[in-house]
Amino acid sequence: MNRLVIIITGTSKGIGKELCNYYLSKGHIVHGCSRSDSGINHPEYQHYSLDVADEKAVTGMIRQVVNKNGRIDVLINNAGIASMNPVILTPLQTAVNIFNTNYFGTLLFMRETGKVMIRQKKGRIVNFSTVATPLRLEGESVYAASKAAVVSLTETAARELAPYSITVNAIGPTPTPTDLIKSVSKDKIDSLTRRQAILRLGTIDDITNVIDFFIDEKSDFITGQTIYLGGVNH
Amino acid sequence: MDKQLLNELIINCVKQVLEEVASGHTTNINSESKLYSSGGLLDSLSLVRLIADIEEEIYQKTNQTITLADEKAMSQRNSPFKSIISLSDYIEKLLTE
Repeated sequence: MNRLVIIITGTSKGIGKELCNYYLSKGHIVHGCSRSDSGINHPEYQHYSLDVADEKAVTGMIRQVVNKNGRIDVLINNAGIASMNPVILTPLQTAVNIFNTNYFGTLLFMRETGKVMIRQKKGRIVNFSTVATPLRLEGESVYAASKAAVVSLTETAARELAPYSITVNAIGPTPTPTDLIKSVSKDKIDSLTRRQAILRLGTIDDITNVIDFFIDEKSDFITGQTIYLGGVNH
Repeated sequence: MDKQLLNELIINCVKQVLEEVASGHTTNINSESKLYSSGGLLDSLSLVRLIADIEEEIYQKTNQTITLADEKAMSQRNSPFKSIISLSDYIEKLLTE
């Protein structure tokens, strides 16, 4: 098996933590980060406590990963926050916080990891969008906008990094039972899943299936794409 | 870092990038050579590669992490990426900050 060096952001809980455990179980080396501890104890896991929008901290983490492993094969930009606010009731600071984590965090990790991958002339980057963007979900305007920005970033970065054999793609998960949606009412979740082609919540297996496809060596002709789960179309 | 060494580091990185990305044109590169400007040696693709290489080489030689494409660099009227001299001056400033 080809042992990969993988960076996953937002590994303290939810999908990020599950992804960590999944790729560790497959024998890969994982470097993760979050503001708090991850609680993951594994000899091949290293955790960095940082804010993904802190430029110096991100640069420092990437430096440490390269010092330790000499390369970065895969970046999974999972870290994200959400807030349910109608546009009229959205505090500016809430919008700033969401963009800091979801967009600027993704940009910083992609920029710094991209530099390493450019030198390697090889790499896979997977960003996280959401079905909330194409579904235009009421109450999630800022969250959806931040993820729309991630899709745009993905598409442009894919073109800029293609000459270096780096692919950049995104996944748009449906609601998945994690902390991110625990504060969302059941009615809201039900009304959302009704707008999907396949009427159920997503699972971690649905997500790893798409990421595995994007990071597969054979997927070197797949870039700039966003795959939405559950049959949601852009 | 000594200015002479810094110039040599940049010139070596430029040569390496040109060999790999632009397949040649490595002769007669000196501190006066133009980089990313009219009539310069680099296109946007090779400039990206050069920045990644120089940041890495600076770290290897000085243990200092610098970000070349920072706000100051991008907002300057005279781009630090214009020539080897301007880039060398800019990196020198970053290293002493």
